[in-house]
Amino acid sequence: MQIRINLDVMMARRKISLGELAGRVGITQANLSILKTEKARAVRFSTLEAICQELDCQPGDILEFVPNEKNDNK
Amino acid sequence: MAKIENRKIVATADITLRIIFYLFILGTTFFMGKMLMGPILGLADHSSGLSTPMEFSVSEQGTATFDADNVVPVKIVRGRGIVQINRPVPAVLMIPFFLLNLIFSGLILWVVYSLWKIVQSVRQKNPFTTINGKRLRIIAFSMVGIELIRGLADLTKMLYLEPRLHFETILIRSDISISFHVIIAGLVILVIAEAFRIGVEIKDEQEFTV
Repeated sequence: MQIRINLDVMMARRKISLGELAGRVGITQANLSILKTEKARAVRFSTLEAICQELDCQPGDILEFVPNEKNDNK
Repeated sequence: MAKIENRKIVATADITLRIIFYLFILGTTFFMGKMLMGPILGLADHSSGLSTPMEFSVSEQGTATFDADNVVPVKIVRGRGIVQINRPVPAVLMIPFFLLNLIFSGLILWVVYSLWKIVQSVRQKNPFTTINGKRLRIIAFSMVGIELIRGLADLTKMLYLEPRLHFETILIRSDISISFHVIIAGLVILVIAEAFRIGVEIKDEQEFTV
């Protein structure tokens, strides 16, 4: 996976649980868990916006691009 | 109202396919057994009915000779000339002939089973799955395969049996009866299967969008 999700890090920093964040953002806990465990294939801008709003952070604090080894070798 | 009617049609299709599936297994086992028992037990004669009937285009009933010395009856059943030949397949070709029949029956069984499973998933309101896409592909390839095997069997009949079979008054003629409609239907199902696969991919992507 080239995009790493640092949602758990931000949640720990803000001391907020998955259930509480899901309730505030307005998505189900199951869907937020899919995002947290990097199983999601796409994120809506509206979801990202709501998460950033609640965690008081930038999208870059949650999403991180990690180049894989193959690309590094090229 | 239409919804209820459709549900009934799907339920009927489910039951019908289930019955066809089990009847086909029974039928295949019987005919395969019959095909094997003839040469193994030496029962392949006209009275036992264990020899394989061959179909040819003839316009009247009578007798024909097979391999010059073997007199065989020719009957017209449902518009087709049926020749009951005592051991039409030489011993050396018995195993390939049996395997070809087994593959042919297996493909038909596979089509019925796949269709039955698709209908079951429709009843469970979850038809858009990867496995159903694969099942559609199986059905498509099997339909083409079935027709090609039929053509191969007819070709064998034409090349091997026809020169050995002599009917006194009329000419016995065999045809290669490949149905191009079935092959085209198979190709159409293949295209639908591909569209189905793309649809399942889009659905999965949608499900994992948060």
